[in-house]
Amino acid sequence: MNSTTPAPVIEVRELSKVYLPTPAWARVFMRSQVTAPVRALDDVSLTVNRGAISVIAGANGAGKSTLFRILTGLLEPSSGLVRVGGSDPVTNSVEVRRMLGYVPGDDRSLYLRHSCRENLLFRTRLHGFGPAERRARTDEVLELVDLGHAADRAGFALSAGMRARLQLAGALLHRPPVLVLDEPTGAIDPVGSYELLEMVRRLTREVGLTVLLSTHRVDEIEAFGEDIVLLHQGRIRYHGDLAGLRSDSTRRIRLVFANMEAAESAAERLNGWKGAAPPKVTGTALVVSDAPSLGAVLSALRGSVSEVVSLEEVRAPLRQTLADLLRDEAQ
Amino acid sequence: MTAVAGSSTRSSVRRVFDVAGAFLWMGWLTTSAYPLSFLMTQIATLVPAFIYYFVAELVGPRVQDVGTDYYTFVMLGVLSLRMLSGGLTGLSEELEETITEGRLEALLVQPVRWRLLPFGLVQWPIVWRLGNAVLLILLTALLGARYDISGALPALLVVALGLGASTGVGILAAAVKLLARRTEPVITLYVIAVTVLSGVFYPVSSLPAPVQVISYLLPDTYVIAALRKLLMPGGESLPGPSTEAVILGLLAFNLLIYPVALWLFGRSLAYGRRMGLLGG
Repeated sequence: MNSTTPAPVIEVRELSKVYLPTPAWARVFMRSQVTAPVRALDDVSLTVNRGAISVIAGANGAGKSTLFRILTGLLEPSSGLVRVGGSDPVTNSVEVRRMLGYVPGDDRSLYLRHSCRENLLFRTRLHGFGPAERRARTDEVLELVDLGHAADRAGFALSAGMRARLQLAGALLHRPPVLVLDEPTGAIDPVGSYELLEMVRRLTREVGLTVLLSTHRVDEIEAFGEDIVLLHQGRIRYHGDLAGLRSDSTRRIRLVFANMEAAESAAERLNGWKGAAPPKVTGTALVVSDAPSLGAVLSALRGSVSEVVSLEEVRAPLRQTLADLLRDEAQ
Repeated sequence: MTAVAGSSTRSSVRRVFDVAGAFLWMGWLTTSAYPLSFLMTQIATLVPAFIYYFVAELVGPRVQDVGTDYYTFVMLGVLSLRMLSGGLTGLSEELEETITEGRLEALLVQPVRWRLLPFGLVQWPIVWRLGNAVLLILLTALLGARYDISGALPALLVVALGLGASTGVGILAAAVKLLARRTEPVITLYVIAVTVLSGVFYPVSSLPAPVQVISYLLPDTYVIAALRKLLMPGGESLPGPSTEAVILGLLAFNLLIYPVALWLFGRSLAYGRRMGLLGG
């Protein structure tokens, strides 16, 4: 690999996962609702390069958690290839888990009765830190996530945002090169959520982490718009940056005319134009949907252009863009 | 790539101690976080000392094969049962708590070999029950039980081997638990068998001969018999296998159970990983 090619840290190729029905013998122990195979991931391929932040977006049931469980070695794929830092999470699970820092979507993995420091010290012991390192590294990561002041505060006395930061601290303890966050802001208010994500962005820069983050929140997709993988029913519906995602969305152009007559006259000219939906007139404003470009609209208006007071291109909200994309897929 | 800290730099043997130490420390932290509960649980576990004191008064020396002192006889049975349950039900309880409180997934993504986890989870239940057994010995001694401390060292060896054996059975149960989320199918049967057949409350010799065959398949029977021979004054005359035979038998049981239990635990993890049963 030459020096200009970014090194892939996470590599997924043609990955599929089918959950099989529980066999009859296993139902003696536990009743199961899965009576037919369920395809959770279907031919998913993606690459995350070193130092990148990739967002796996999708609605509940899209396959995000299945993908993350495969990456962390908790789940075996049905077919396809998965590599984390060059290692296979199934055959070299411990090595992969050494490279990953995992932040779960809820705080149930914390010992809420115990302090932040105690929660992290437990993990340093699990990780095999020597006695001298434990305390030092614990204090270091607490400072890193701005929880130094709350080191001795019990988990149950922390806000949801602080608990998420404590989870982040736990994931960073062993200095993993890759951080995997599974819907980390699920229970956090918008301010706490913003702070957490900014912290992840800062750490990515300062510590040189590669980040894979799953979310179903539009604000997070917008915040980390460099590399978005949109999953829907186990398949990748879109992979690219935010601008590319938006380019798929319906473009609307809003023109304001000097008077109502000019607006209505322009609406008549554009009615039935190039298959676009009939323009809507509200007072002196006229909105054209599905327009190929701003220039094309102005050109079609011809003489009415001189009556235009202002104009703007109005993008559909990302929420609507996503809904449209997924609706198209369903159809 | 950034240097990964911790586990990668430690030897395998030290990793076992790291994991065991982590769970032991967390077990202590969690237990001591509820001081009154800690105290009341300890007191509750001492109650059998009083119950069997009065039962022994009632029974007197009239029964056969219990030596001269039924109180010491039965309390050594109860103590053995208490200590060995650390490996069996203790592991099961810890695993159940880990699953129901939602910590299993977070635990499994730590860079720890999964087969080390049962050895970590079992640490605190064993230490807790051993500590409780010491208190029970002191209390029963005050109430008139007579222990021969000259047999303490071989008794400790027997207890250690017995704990190893019961932990092995506990790992078998844990393998079931990972898939079924319950260990009752294994644990209940085993606990019933041990309570009824291993001679805790009455000598195994008082059971029908065909049933005694099952008794001697249970490691607990050997531990109880050996502790009575070693710690009861005049206990060496009680029926049952010699201490040497018990030590060899338990050693053999340990050597047999661990490869089987760890293999099954590994298979269970592999199956759970394939079927998607390891999360949550």
